[in-house]
Amino acid sequence: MKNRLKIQRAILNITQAELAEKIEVSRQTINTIESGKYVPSTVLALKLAKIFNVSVESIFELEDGD
Amino acid sequence: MNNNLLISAKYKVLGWSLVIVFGVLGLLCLNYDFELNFLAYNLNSIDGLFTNNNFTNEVAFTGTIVGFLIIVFSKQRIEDEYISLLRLKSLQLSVFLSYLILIVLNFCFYGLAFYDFIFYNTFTVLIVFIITFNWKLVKLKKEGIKVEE
Repeated sequence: MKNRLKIQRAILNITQAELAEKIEVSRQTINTIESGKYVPSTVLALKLAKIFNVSVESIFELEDGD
Repeated sequence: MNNNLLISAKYKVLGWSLVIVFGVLGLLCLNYDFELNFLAYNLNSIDGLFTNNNFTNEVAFTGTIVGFLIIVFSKQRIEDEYISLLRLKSLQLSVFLSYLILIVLNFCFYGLAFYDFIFYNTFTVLIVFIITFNWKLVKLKKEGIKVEE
């Protein structure tokens, strides 16, 4: 699954740590999501979308083979 | 995502203290027949049911197990869903390794030696979990630092 978390974070101009604090996870978790190592739960995806004020599909996108 | 079995992170120190104190007591008890006098009991009426008349080994075993359980079930400072995933992966590995060791022991040891190793193997799930989980956490922290640089 592709994600545009880093881009969205750059638009809002917030660090991984600041984003992590907003959605109550550790900074490392944000890092694993950005690097594509971890696919977050629906709850976390919706929380992220709410912070960036966009839809979940604008952040996460299915790839071939998913 | 709430895991009701987990306890506060502050209990981790208590867990380690119990493991050290009761673990040392247990090793002394197993290897040097050390016994605490105040844990002795007298049950003549049911002689033969108990092999010795002292509770030191039972107390040491219980204390060590409880200590390990407290460490395993204490939360991280930030207990999020990725940490839960790491917990699950570590638990899978520890259960797998524990039974793998048991299968190997089954073929390598016989008689009393087998029972001795079975006894030590009761701690394997907990110990392997603690090692794997903490190793995964250290690796996660290192990866995070690398990306930020």
